[in-house]
Formats: sequence, C-alpha cells, structure tokens
Amino acid sequence: MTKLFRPQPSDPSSIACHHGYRRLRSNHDGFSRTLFSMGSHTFAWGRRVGSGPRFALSTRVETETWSMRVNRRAFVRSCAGAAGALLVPWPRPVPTLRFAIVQIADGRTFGDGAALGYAEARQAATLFQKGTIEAVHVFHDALPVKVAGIATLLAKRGAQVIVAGLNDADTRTAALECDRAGAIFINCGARNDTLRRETCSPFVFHVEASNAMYETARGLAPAGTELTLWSDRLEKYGAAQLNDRFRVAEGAGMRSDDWGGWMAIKVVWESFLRTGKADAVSIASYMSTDGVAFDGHKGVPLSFRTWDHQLRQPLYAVSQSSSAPPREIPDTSRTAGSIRELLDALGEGASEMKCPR
Amino acid sequence: MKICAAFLAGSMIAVRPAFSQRLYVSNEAGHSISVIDTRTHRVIRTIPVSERARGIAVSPDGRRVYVALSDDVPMRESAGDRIAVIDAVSGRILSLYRSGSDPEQFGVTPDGRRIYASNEDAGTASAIDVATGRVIASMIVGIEPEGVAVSPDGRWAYVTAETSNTVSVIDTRANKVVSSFLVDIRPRAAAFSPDGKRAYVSAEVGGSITVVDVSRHEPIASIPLERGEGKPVGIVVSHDGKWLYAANGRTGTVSVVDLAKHEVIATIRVGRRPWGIALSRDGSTLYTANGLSNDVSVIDVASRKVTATVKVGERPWGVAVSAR
Repeated sequence: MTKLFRPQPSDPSSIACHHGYRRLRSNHDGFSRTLFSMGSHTFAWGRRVGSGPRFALSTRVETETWSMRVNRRAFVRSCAGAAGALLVPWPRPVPTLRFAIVQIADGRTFGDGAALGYAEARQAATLFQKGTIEAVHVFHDALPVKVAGIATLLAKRGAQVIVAGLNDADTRTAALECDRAGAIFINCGARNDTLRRETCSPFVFHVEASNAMYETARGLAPAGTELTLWSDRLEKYGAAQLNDRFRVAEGAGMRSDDWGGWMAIKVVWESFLRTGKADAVSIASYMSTDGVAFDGHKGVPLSFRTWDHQLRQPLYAVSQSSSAPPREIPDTSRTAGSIRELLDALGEGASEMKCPR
Repeated sequence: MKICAAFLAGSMIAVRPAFSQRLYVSNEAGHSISVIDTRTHRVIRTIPVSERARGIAVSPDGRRVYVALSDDVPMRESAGDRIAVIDAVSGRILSLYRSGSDPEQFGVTPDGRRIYASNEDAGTASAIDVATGRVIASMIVGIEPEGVAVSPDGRWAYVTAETSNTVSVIDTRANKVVSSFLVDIRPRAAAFSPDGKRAYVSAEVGGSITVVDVSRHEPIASIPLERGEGKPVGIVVSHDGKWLYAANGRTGTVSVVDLAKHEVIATIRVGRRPWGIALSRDGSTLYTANGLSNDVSVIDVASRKVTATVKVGERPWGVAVSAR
C-alpha cells in the first residue's frame, strides 16, 4: 500500500533520492492517491477506486491537505522546506513555470507518466538558478464531467501550460479555451484529424499521434501488432533507462499514454530552461521553431511540425501475442537520407493541413 | 631445448625495447576485458569481470586499469556496482571500489588520486578517493548522467546527463557542483582540449558537438556532424588539440573534425555501433569499440583508413590505451 524511496543519510550515494521525489500511496477513504513531495512542493492526485459516490472534479484540491492526511511527516518536511526557502535571499524574481495536468475518465490515462515528467522537470530546474517549476493543479478522476471552463480557470490561476488527456470533444473545448486564454495546450489524448484543423492555434500542440499517422503506420506494420507511441519492452537509445525509472517510480511498465504525458512535460520544461522565459508565448514560439528538436528516448530528434504542431515521431508496432521487441515504424535506422522527411511520411503533410494562422 | 631457450631469450630481447602498447576493451555483454597487443593486433588476454563492463581508463602512471561495472538492479547501489581496479601488467583484479549506483563512465584526475564517476540511474556523480577506494562525495547532477571528463589541470569534472541535456560542472577542490549548462540533445561524452581552454560534448540525438568555453563554463558553438545525421557518442581530441574524432554509433563511422574551422573534414567507416574511441600515445592510431560487430577497428590517422579489425568479446563498449 505504501511505497517509499527514502534517502539513507549514512549513504552518500543515495542522496539523489530517485530524482528527488518520494511517493506514497493511500486508499484509506476509497481514493487511491499518489503523492509526490519535493522539497517544499507537494504534488498529488487521486483515483477513485471501488464503488460509491463519484469524486467531483474540483479546483479546490489542496495538495498540502492531502499530504497531511496521508503523511504528517511529509507535510512537516514540506513546511520546513518552504520556511527554508523564505530564508534564502534570492537576488531577483525568477520566472516560474506552472503546469496543470488534466485528465478525466473517458480520456486517456497518462497521469503516471506526467508525474515522472513533473518530477524530472523539477529536478532539471534545480540545476539552474533561473527558474522554478510548479504544478498548479492536477485533475484526475473517474468521472466524465463537463470540461468547459476548466482550461480558462486554470489559465486564470496562473497555469501557462495545460497538459491534457481527454476525448475528442473535450480536447476541442479545452484547446480552444487555451487559445483564447493564451495558455499552451498539449494534447495527449485525442487522435482526431479534424480536431487538429479546428483547434489550429499558436498555443495548441499534439504529442498523441494523429489518426492519419496511425493509418499510414498501419500500412507498414506487421499483422497482429498494435501501434503505440511507446512500449515498456523498448531498450535502445536510453529507452531501457526511461523504462527503469518509470518502473521504479510507478511499479509498472511505462505504457504508450504514460510516455505521452512524460514527453509533453519534458518538451515544456526543456523549452523553459532553454529560453529562460516562463510565458506561454515564448515557450510556444520556441517549441514550434523550425529546427528545434527534443529527445524522447526514441533515438531520433523529435520536433513539432510547423503546419499542425503535431509531434514528429516514430511509432512502434508491438506484438500482442509474443514478447518480440517492438518494431519501429518507420524504421529510422535504415534510411540514408533525412530522418525528418522519413517521419513526415506519417500523417498529413503541409499541403493537406492548412492552418489559417 | 637449448635452441628453444635461445630463441626465447632472443625474442625477449627483440621485444622488450619496443614494448608494445596495450589496448583494454570493456565488453558490456561479455562481462570481460579484452587486452590487445597493438603491435600484433591480437587479443593476448581476456579478463573476466562479474558484471556489465562499460567505462574504462588507465591510471596516469599506467599501472592500473579502471573499469566501471554495474548490475541490472535499477536505482540503488548494489554489490555489483563497482569500479574494478586491474593490474595493467598481470591482469589481476586488485580491488573493487564502491562507486555509487550504476557507474557508467568516469574520469581520473591527472594526479591519479581521484576518480569521478557518473551514477546513471541515481542522477548523481561520485568522487572516489583512489588511495582508500572510498566514495568521499556524492553530488546531484542532471538526469541520466553519462560522460565524465576531468580538465587537464584537474580542477573541473564535467558530467553530462542524457535526459536533461545538461553538463554539470564539479569543482574538484570543493567536490561541489558549481555550475550547469545546457547542450544539444542527448549528450554522451565530454573531452577537454589539451590546453584546458575548451571542452567538447557529443550530442547523440542532436547529431552535433557542443564547444564549451571552460573559463566561463558556457557553450560557444555547435558543430553539426554529417549534416546533423551523425550520432556521436565517444569523442577524443588529438594531442595537439587540432582534431576531434567522434565515433558515430548509429551510423558506424568516425567523423574527423577540424577544431580550428569547426568543420567535419572526413568520415571513416568502421565496425557496427562504435561507441568507445581512443587515440594511441603517439597520436598515429585510433581505436573504436564496435558494440554490434563485436570488434575493434584500428584506424591509421594519417591515411584515415581502417588498417585492422580485432575480434573481442560480446558488445564492446569502451577502449583505453596503456600508458606506454
């Protein structure tokens, strides 16, 4: 029920504390919760388990309250960390990047991957004294509720970036709200091609592959395979290391949606650290710059297509009946030419996807 | 018998003055070290080790070979995670130093007294005192740390981190991370110029070499390899500081970079998935450890041609040259 990574003070090698977060699980009141405590910050979400009244989507989930309920010591540590932070003189105001992670029942479940992404974002930010990263709030629930208004509210609360795993309709609603509010929206749930045209905006990005990409890849994939963004069987190009980190943090293999959540957060924190700016316009503009690429442990540079802000990436054909290694689609190891052009063979090209920007 | 003895004595006399250099190759999957005579290009000894062997280096006095060993237990230091200390001549394992979890690469200070090792899965770097074999400091660096290079004056240790695309700068006097900077995506190895003014960091997925001004610990240029399609992992700088050789694992090549012009001037095809790369003491020969063809390519620097290929153990990872 409880899983902890606690540094042993006597052992200098353990100070890493596994990317600096502790994880606890609790389901004492019918909610399975995950809690990350990182210095003065606590990051949590819960999932309703069993039957009973459904957990209403709330913007009032105060993570500190949760940590007190779950673990008093974690709370005390959080307060001590906050007090310590106040005592340290800071030469100038630092930009703060605020994420919100939104996920509801009939969307895709990518929360565990987002949690690892968030923990790593915080760890990377601590290397530089030019910014901090916070999670504004996390919605994670088993209830299909109305998403309308949520993105606007989160943007008002200071979230520059909203990462969401939602169905097509809710993705459309939230993405358009973000466009109006000037917050970055990263789609980790919807594959719909029409949606991509309708939500075309400087602020809207897609980490989940489009239906058009899956369809092209299907033609190249062996029979009896499922097409995914990721597989916990991948090993090359640092995939084994990412899979290990995820397995240790979450106790399970990293699934396709987990990778999506992790990657969405990684592209944002990396853009934040590289630009040194926390505003949505600067980050979105960096993310969509032609020539800017990110590493997602897939062995090739991943970038957003300028015409539809779709992440260029290989997919994997994973055999459902055997434990054979996943096949990369398209096979980027066999090209002598441009990997970028090869990846653009998946999905809609610039001519098909006209964005009235 | 007499003839035999005379022959032996003769051959010893003939061999001794020109004591040939040795190459030490770590075989990650083979759990062994192959020792190659560089004159005959033969494997003269295979030293078995207990775990995956990756980072490998010879001590500055040439008497010892250090090899990073790690087991498959993720995220915590276990009994298999060690730096093996091997007698360079006898091949005997003298001791196993603790090194923190999952040691991958390391650098030895020029005075030979300290080793800085990256702990890949823990996100740390460890400083090891060579005299006692103890970890004397553990420092938080970037995520998925990998390459380690110590500056020629011994003052700085640069530690790359593959996931966070960072280099953490360790001040070796204080054993503290004093600075961090971003480099191109998926940084692997780092190397200093002989004068210590520049450092170079390979970016595997970025397909480039980041040039760093060491006085400010800041990147100042990026050199694309093979028009950005190179996949550099191991790098080595020539002894005169004019050239950089980068082993492109995925493309099976070595890029020759002119460091004055920041340009690739030649590309040499070697074995499959070269990662480790080393230069002979006289600077005339390059060696690459080719992980998928299970061999070492021997490259003549002047002609930029592969002159020999030596079969080694399974999945060779790193290569180091003996001190003489």
